[in-house]
Amino acid sequence: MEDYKYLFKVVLVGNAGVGKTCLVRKFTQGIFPPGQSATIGVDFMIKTVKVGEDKIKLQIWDTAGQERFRSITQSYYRSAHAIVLVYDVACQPSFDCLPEWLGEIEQYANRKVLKILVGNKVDKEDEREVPERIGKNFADANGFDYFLETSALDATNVDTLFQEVATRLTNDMKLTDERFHNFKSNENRDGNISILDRVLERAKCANCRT
Amino acid sequence: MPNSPYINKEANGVDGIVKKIANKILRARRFKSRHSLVNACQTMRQQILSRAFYGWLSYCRHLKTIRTHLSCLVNLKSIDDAGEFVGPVNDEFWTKCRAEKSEEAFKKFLRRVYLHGIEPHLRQKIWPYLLGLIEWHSEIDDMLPEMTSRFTTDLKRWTEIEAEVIKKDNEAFQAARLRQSSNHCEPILPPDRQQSITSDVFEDGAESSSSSHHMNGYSKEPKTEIVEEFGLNLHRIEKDVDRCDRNTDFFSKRENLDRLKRLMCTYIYRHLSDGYIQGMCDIAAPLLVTFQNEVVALEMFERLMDRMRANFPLGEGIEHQLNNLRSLVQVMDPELFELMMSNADFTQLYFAYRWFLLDFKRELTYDGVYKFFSLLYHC
Repeated sequence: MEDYKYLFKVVLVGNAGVGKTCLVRKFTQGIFPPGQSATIGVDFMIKTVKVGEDKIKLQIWDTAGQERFRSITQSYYRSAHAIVLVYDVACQPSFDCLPEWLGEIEQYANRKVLKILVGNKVDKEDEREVPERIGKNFADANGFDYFLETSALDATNVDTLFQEVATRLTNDMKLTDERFHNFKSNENRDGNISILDRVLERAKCANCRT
Repeated sequence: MPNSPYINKEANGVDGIVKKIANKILRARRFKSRHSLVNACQTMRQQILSRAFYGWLSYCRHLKTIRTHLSCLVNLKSIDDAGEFVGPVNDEFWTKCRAEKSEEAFKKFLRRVYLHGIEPHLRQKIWPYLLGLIEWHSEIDDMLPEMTSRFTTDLKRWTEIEAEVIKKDNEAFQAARLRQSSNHCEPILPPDRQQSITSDVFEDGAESSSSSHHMNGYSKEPKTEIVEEFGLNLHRIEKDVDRCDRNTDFFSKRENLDRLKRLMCTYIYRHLSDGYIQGMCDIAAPLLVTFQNEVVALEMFERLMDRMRANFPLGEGIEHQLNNLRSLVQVMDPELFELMMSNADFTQLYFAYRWFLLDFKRELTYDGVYKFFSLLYHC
């Protein structure tokens, strides 16, 4: 079994078609899949990153954007360590829906969850409808911990985004660890890992066959 | 030394007593060891019995789980395989079946589809019968004119609405541009929550109106609500059509994507109260590839949606499916089941949502999808 210090759960939300899946795939697999099909329900991917000397495992949950699937995505908020809310800088309506998403996060997520706002598709500079300043202002006014503009197409800030998530969560966790010496999350972590490894193993076999 | 009878007697007595005691002890020991042996046997017997009992009990519980949750999934009617391998439904067999058109031939046909599948080139002829689009005794050509005229009428109607939507979108876009350039220095305030709430309310209200309603109420000028609602769905459809199975040959061509859009928009126009839900394109795509004809593909999609509708977030179907899967895992792999139930992210089995919503369409290649769909359509 892979050795790592912490496992963090990161959930991506935002309107349909803003590029959540592409961000995740660019980060985890290094590819930008043109014509990536719409996500149905939820999907997850895993990648290990390094924060200083520590290996950190990010379990990234990618959710469906359409509101009809909200009942499913809502169930993933609660145990999330970080929530990345994504909008498309070339699509004003995806930005206009942010307050609605914030409401969801407030209602379902842990109060201490790390909140990150991401404006994706900055490669479409000509079609931009939401200026960077507007996004930044919104993030500041609504208690986001971090704001970033990205492009899954040309990889702008994709690694930075997830690296930042991992770093902030690790630092928070280390503080908590220091405060509570006896704090052990091993039990929960083990459960996570064995089941995930098993599922991944099976998925690998399935991939081999296709 | 005179042999004192007393002493002798005493000596004899002592000897006797010693012997007696020794005998007693020996007997007691023997008895004890026999006794403990008996005890051990007893315990073993009890243990064996209790193990057997607990084994039987867990077996009963297991069966109870199967009976409660899975019995409805098992089709008790066995389909007897005649033993010889006759292969998938081919031209010869199909021509014979269509010549007969008897109930008997239909049963034979179904059995062969179930056991051996269909030769790929026959799918477009056979699937309409499997899904009940065409009655066994009729031909598709009898129904095609009516289907086509219905399609053409609906297509014309929603195209008019689409024109209206595009006009409105353009106006909104120009207005936004104007606002942005005139308020160049002032930040555009994020829309307050009130706005999104009103749009939600509107959506809910619109959803409650039935589709037949608006069809009847439809006059020359499309109503504003219909334009709004159709517009919402149109944008969703366009977004998904553009990214549907683009890695296949068929959908790498723009004209085929347009056909998929026409199919989906016509369907949504007919079922506006349901609205477009992600995943619908995935189900329609293999049909369009098979039939190469929007009219028949749409009718087939309508039939298919009749049975799959409940799985979409319109019904309770998916919960039922996931419950069945949960019970299956519990029976087939209790260890995995325990692990899943101890982890909050997996208890609801939402990772399997897509499998059931799309009948494993995303999990298989197109070839696999066709084979699997043939089998499903038979059921």
